[in-house]
Amino acid sequence: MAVRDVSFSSDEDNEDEILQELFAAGKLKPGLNIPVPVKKYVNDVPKLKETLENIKKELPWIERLDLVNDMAELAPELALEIHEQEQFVKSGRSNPLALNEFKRETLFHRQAQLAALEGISRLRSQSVSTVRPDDYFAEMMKTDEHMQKVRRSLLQKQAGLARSEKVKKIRMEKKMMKQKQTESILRKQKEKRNLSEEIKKYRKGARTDLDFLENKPKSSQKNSNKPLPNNKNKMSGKKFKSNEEGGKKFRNKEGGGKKNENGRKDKRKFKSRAQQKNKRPVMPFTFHRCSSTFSISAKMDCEYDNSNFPGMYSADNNKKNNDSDFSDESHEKLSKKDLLIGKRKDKKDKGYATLEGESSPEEENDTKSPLKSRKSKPFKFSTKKEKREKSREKENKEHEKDKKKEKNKHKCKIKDKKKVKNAEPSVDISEELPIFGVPLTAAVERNPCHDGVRIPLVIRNCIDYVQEHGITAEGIYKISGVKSRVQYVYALYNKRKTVYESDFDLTIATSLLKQFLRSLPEPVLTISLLNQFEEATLKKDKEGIKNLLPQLPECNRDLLRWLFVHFKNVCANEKNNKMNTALLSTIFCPLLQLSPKLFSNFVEFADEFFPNTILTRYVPPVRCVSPNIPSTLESVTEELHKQESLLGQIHFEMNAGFISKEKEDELWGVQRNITHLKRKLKSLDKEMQQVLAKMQESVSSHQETDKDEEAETVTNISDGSASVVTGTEKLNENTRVDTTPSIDESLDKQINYESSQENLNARTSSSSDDEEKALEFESEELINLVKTLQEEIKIERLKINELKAELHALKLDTSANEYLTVLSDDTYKDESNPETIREHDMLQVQKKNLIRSIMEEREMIIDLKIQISMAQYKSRQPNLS
Amino acid sequence: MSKKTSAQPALHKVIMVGSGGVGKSALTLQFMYDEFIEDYEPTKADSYRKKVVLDGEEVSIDILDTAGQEDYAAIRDNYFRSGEGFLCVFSITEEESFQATQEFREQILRVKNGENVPFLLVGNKGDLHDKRKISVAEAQARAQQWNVHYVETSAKTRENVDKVFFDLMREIRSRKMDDTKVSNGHGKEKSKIKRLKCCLL
Repeated sequence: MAVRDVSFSSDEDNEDEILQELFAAGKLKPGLNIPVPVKKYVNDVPKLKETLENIKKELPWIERLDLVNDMAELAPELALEIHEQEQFVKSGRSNPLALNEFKRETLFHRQAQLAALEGISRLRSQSVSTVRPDDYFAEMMKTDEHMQKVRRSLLQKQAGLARSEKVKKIRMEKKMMKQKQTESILRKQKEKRNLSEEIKKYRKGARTDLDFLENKPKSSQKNSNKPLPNNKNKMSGKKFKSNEEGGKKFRNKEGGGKKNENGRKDKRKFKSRAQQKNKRPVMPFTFHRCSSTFSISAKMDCEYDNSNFPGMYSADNNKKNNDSDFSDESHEKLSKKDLLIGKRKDKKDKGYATLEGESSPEEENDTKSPLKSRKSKPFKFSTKKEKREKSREKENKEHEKDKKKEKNKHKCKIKDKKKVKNAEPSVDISEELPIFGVPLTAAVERNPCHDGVRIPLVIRNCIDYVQEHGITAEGIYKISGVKSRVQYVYALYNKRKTVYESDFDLTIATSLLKQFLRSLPEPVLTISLLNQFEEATLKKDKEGIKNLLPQLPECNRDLLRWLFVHFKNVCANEKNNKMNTALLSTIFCPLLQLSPKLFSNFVEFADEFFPNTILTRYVPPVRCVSPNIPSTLESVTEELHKQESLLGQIHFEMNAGFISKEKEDELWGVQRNITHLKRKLKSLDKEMQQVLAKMQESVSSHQETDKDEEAETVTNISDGSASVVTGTEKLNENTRVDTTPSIDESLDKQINYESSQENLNARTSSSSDDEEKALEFESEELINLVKTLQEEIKIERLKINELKAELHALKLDTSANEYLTVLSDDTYKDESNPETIREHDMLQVQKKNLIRSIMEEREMIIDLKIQISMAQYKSRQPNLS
Repeated sequence: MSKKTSAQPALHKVIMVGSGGVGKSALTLQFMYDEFIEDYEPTKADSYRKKVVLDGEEVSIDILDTAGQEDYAAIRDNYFRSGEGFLCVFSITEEESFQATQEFREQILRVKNGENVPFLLVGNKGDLHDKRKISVAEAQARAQQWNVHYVETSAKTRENVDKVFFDLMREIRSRKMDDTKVSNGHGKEKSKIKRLKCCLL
């Protein structure tokens, strides 16, 4: 327990206790602590200097950069400060030690300062720059993003290098393979030749044994580097070899199971060939191996002999020489024949090229019939070496395949991520970002209509075309287009080229539409919802389908909308096109992957499922804006939207790495169009505002004149406004009808007044008859006008009364009438929404303008009338005189 | 060739760069339509084309007025790539806009792979003498460092507006001439190499 307590106590206590214990035990005695001897320091200056001299290297100063110098001069203010402090100390008010630290520091500082000054000047004198470059910090200030970009581009470069290296490797491998092949061919030929020579010798009797058939001719290998013989020789050589072998076989056939004619024939052939061979120049081929080739060649011969023997030669000869016959062929002809046969054989040989490895000697003794052997041997009895070769070849091929796969994968990755920013111009957009065979959303994204309809442009164009040109064509959608032309248009779309209407015809449009639907990876109704749709159809649950439709993705819904409204249109023209719902469903159900019932349902109730659908013809965004720029506000904004959508698409494609000169030009062009449209929009806006302002001005001025000049009309207007308040359809009519006369009147009076004044002036100033007459006419006309206008006013008033009566009849209630009369223009404005108010104002303004123009025209008429009467008057005057 | 060029005048593509509110659009509009717009409205991207007579030769100039704001940086690269000459605009009354030119210069060089692109440093708002923050010497120094010319303009008074555009067009033209010379010199070899490449397939 005690120990524990000790352990719990603090360290110091613990130590003390231990010491005390030790002391108590007698282990610790005073004097046990030995004093450590003080170390003596030897300041051996000369020795130190000596070593320094030894260490010292006579390097130029620029390498050492050491400086021994005095302190720099104190800055004046600092000197003053220190002086003050010294005085302070002297006066004894403070302890000098308190300032020591500072003093020392300044001393260090001063020394360093002078060192720096001196050092810099020295460095300068040696033309070493002492200042960091200006962009030193700029370099450091680069953002992470930028550095990442740099890194990315570096990585890209690296990847590109690696890829090109891979390609190079593959190419090299291919080359090597080819070389190997040619080498092996050469070797084979050498061996063949050697063998044939041996056989020749044997035939001539120079050799008695056939050992050379058993032992592979090794000597031939030495010459394997001989140049490749020309094709002709090669071919004929092969053929020759085979014949030889056939003959050999025949002779070798020791009790070989079946006796056959082939062998005999072979022999005959062999003989003739042998003869021919004797006359020929040295043929650069050899027997390379024995029995396996034997079997092959025997097989060849059998083939020829069995099937083609009589016919083949004659046929061949017929081509070249009609009178040649196998029996009496000359050597030359034979060679020709050889050629022909060789050619033929060559085709076959290609198939066996890889199989013509070396064969084992034991095969040679195989007594299988050539017929049998040809079935099995070439594959079964390959030597290890051959196998090795084959396997190597296979490996190589596989390697290549793998690499190709990798490449493809790489491409896919690129495609998926759409990261290739600096892609080569050779990249084909139709391969990377196709329109056909991709999910609908992608297709819409890549090939959008720029007017906000979310279906692919292809479909839109097809439907447009059919709607416009072929809705009444018989058997529409039944007949498919010419495949090559459909493919052409298909490719145009995939390449994002502009497709002109001339590229289309009816069948192409329908085929293209079908092809698009066929190539969609997912049914338009989507996999997840398709079953629910079908179930709803079975239950005849129209509402259910209606509820399901909004769950579809937007573009799927739009596509369905357009398709079925279009199909309904097609079916509506059944009389002409002979297509009904059932026929259409047989065509489209497999494409859309839905049941005929659902299809007919959709077609039948297209209006209900897709209300308010109008198949508007697609107008692409204009390419060049200046000549056919739209002029109204709406059309400009619409076009602007289209152009912006187009611009977005271009940016999308360019960001995906498809950069070409045309694309860039297009980008600039579209951008220009947008700018142009924006400017146009702005100017239109301004115009509108100006017009509005003017109108308002004129309205206010008119109203003023109204009030000033005629009190009566005010009542009229108020009447008018009362009728305006009715808010019936007559609103416009009424206001116009009511206010027109009043204003007319006022204007008339004005004119009258003016003219009378003019008259007065004229009368006083002018004395000529003509002018007087003219004025007379004018006043006459004006009086007439006033009369007619007054009549009109009367009529209008009558009308107003009638309308009032009607109103009364309609409302019946007098209180309603009161209510209406109470409502002034202002209250009306307050109640209705600002838009209608503005509309109302606009109409008012327009009305006033119309009135004004009418008045102006009337004045013109008066002027003209005056002129006419003046002319008449003048014509009359000479008569009078 | 000569017929073609006479029928279609040479086209120079100029891009205005610089941070927001330095007067790129104002310069452009002043050059295009002789108008000066007081109220500031940020540009997203605008493009203009104008036919001008450059040293007695009729040429077309395409001007792309880009956004100064960073928001539109994504689409900027697409434009920079297709530009032939750049007017790097800053406001002499705004220190930051001057600093930003460095960044724009870097961006352009990066997109253009560091080739010696026709480039002009433009200090705009030259009429606002009393608010000047960037001295001519400072701007000159930077221009020298980049090995380009520095011009001070005023979109308001139309001072030097035509000059910057015409200077730049001249640079572009001479640059193009150099390029054609180079391509004529090595064109044959290039085409041969290309043909060979095709044959490999």
